[in-house]
Amino acid sequence: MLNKPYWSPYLCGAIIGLLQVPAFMIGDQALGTSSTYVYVVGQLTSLFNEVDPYLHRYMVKPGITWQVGLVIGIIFGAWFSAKMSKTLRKDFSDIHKLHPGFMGVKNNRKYSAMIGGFLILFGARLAGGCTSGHGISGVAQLSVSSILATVAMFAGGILLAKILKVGRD
Amino acid sequence: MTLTAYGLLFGFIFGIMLEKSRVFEPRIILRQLQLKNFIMIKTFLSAVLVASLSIYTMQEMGYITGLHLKPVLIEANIIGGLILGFGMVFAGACPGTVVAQLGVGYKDAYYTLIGAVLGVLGYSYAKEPFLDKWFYAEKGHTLTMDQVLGVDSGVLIAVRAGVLIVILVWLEKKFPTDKEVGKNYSGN
Repeated sequence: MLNKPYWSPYLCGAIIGLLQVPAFMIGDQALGTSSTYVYVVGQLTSLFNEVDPYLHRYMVKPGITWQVGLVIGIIFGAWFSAKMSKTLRKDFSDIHKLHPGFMGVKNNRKYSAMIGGFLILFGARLAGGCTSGHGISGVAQLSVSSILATVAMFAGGILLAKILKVGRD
Repeated sequence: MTLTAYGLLFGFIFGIMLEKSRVFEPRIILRQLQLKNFIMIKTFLSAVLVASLSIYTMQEMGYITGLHLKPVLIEANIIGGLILGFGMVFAGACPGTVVAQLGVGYKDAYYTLIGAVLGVLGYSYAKEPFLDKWFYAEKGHTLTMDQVLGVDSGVLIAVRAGVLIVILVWLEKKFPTDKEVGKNYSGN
């Protein structure tokens, strides 16, 4: 089964939805990933100087270690899954081909990835959650803040993708 | 320590699902935002559907004492969401999928993660001097749609589940997954 390169996205989505059960019952929180970044950055900065109070709050947040484990687990799970189906990757993706101008140049892929990485975390922290915390968990719980944030994520993404779209197809 | 171990175990399953659904593929995320590939929204809506039923069931059975909600801060929720959406276009990733890209070996992920660390640092530096004043002057309260509409949450969740199933069936009919995975399983 794991040697199949892809499964039904509906089945996979459903199993991701079921992960709310251990998240609530064991982690005492909803499924999410972006707080882990704050924890990791807090740990990194603690090596050099005093930790910013915002970062420190997440380093001692109850149950944070559940989420840190979860995010590290994703790395291994994705690796294992791709290894089993022989779909491991060795290079950059080809998404620069779908972007215009500066971003359409293969050698510039690292810059567009860095800009994107900055924005997804800055945005997630400002909004109070990401595509899993707000998107899946919050929307599932009928949370108004999450519905606002999730609609904004997709609207923003679709709008910018339209503006930056390459001519063909 | 055991919390971390459980996190690792369920994260492992999460990672397999992100890989097997192909939703972690940078190309599939970008093509979704270009409205040319719908694997991301298929996976996402299926997750919302089952997550809502799971959480509602746990609550009704008395296994959990309460929900985990985030306060409504209209400007922060909307502007933060928009910024995250813009970032997904540049990165071809979101905070959960980029670590799956790392595991599978995409080099994009190293740079996206460097950006992510800088994003958290930038946010933490901007928080006290600017963001607290602009976005978090008021504390905000949690609010759910059943409170807004004055309808029982079970009814809302059941109605929405029906709507989601109709949408998912329609999506598969209109955009068959077998045609969307593409030749390299990275999206058509």
